[in-house]
Amino acid sequence: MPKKPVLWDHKPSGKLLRTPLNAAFPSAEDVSWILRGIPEFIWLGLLYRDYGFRRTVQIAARVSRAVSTAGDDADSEVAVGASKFDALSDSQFEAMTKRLICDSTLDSVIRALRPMLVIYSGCPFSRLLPCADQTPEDHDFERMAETIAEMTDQRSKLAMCCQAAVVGVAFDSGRIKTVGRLKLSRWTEIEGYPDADGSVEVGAMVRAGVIMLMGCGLVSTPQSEWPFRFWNRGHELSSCSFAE
Amino acid sequence: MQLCRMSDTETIRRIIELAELFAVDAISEFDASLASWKFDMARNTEFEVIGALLARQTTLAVRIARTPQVWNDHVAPILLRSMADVHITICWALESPEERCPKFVEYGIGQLKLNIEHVKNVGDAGVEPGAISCELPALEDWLEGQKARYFIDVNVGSMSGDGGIHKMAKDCGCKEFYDLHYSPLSGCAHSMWQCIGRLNLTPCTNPLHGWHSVPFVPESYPDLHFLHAAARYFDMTLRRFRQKIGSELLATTAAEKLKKAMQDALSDVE
Repeated sequence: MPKKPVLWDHKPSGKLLRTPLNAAFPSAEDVSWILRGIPEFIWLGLLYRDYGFRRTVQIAARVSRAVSTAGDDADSEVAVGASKFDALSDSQFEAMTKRLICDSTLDSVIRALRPMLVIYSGCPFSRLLPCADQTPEDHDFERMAETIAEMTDQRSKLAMCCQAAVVGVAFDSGRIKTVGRLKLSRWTEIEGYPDADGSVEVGAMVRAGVIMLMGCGLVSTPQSEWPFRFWNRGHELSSCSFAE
Repeated sequence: MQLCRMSDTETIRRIIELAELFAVDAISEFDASLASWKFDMARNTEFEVIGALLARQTTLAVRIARTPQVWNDHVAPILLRSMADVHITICWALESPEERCPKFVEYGIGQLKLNIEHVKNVGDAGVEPGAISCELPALEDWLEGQKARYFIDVNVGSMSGDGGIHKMAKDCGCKEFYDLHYSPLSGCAHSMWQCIGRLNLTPCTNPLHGWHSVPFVPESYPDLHFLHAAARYFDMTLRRFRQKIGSELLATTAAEKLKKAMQDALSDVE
C-alpha cells in the first residue's frame, strides 16, 4: 500500500497546516488543568484529604447551593471553582456563610481549608476567616504542597475525585443534564477509581467534562486573575527547585 | 590577532584566562539581568521564551569563550550567526511579547511535530533518519508535555509571517545589524560560495595549470576577533533586554571588562 504523505490529514490554511480537530473547531481555546484547574479546585482537594469523596461532594454541593440562594442577584452559574467566590459581593458572601452555619457545614469548610486561608491571604475564600493575620505553620505549607503536587496529575486519584465533585455539583445545580447511559452520569464511580471496573472510562469522561465546563465559564470564571495570584504567591513563598 | 602568532606563552595563557573570566562574568550578568525582571505567572510564556533565548545567547557566548579552537573563520561564524539570530529574535519578541512569545512557542512545537512525523515516515525507505531518531522517545515525551499532538498545527512558512528574519530585524530596529552582521555570517553558516571560495580553495601557482584553484582543508588558528565578536553580541542582547524591562544598565558589563583586560594584556605584545 502506498505510504501516505506526512501530515496528510491536516488542512492547509495558507502556510498553516491545521490538525483535523483544530480545523473542525477553529474557535476552541486551550484550558490548562495546571494553570487554571488546580487553583480553581484546590479547595476540593483539601476537603477530600480531610473528609474523603462523599463528604467532599456533600460539602461542595451545600456551598454551591448556599451561593445560589445568597441574594436576588446571585451568580446563576455553578459556584464550585474558587474564582466564582471571588466574584461574590460582601453581602452575598455573608449570606452564603450564614447558610453554611445553619446547615452545620461552615466549621468543616474552615477546618479543611485552613492551609489555603492562612497561606493565600486574599484567596477567594479569605472572607471565611476573619482573623486574616493567622501565621501559617509548617504543616500548612506541607499540606498545600502535597495537595498541589498530587493534583498536578489530572489522572491521580485526588484530582479525579475533585473533578468528579465538580461534575456532581454541576448536576446538583440542575445546570447540566445527561441521559443515564452516558458515562458522565456515572461520576460517582470515581470513588473506586482507578481499580473499580469501568472507573477509568468514566474518569476520561469526567476529565473531558470538567475542561468543557471550565471553558464555557459554568464552573469557573475564564478570565479570572485568581489562578495567577495563586501561582505568584507560590513564587513568593519559596524559590525554584530542580531535578538532580 | 591570532594566538599562534604570539611568541609570548605567558600572554597566551593570560588571554585564555581572561576568556574564562568573561565566561564566568557573562553567566553572572545573565543571572542578575533575569533576577531584575519581576516574575508574573500571568506572563509565564514571555518569561520562559525571552529567558530561554537570553540563556541561549549566554550559553553560546560562554561556549565560544571556553573553546579557543573555534576562534577561526571556519567555525566561529556559524556560531556567531546563531548568536545574531538570537539577538534579532529577542529584540523582535521584546517589541510585543504578549503576542509574539506564544507565536514563537507554537511555531517551534509545530516544527518538532513535523520533524518527528518525517522520521516515523522513513520506515523501510532505506534512508538514514539522522540523529533525531535516537532521541525520538524523549522528544515525543517533551512534545506531549507542551501540547497534545492532535492540537498542534504546523506552520510551513516563517514564524513571523511574510519576510522572515529580515522583516523581524526591520520591525525591531535591527536592520543595520542584519545587514552588517547576520547577512554576511549567513554566507558561512550556509557554506555559500563567498565563504568556501575564500576559505576552502587555494590558488594553484603553476603557470602551466591555467590559474585554477584547488580544494583543501586548511589549518586554522585561534583569532581573538571572534572572541570579541561573541562578547559583543552577548553585550548587545543583554543591554537591549535590560533597557526594555526598565532595569538599570550595569556600570561595567562582562564584555567591557574583557575588552579592557585584553587591551592591557596585549599592550606589551603590540
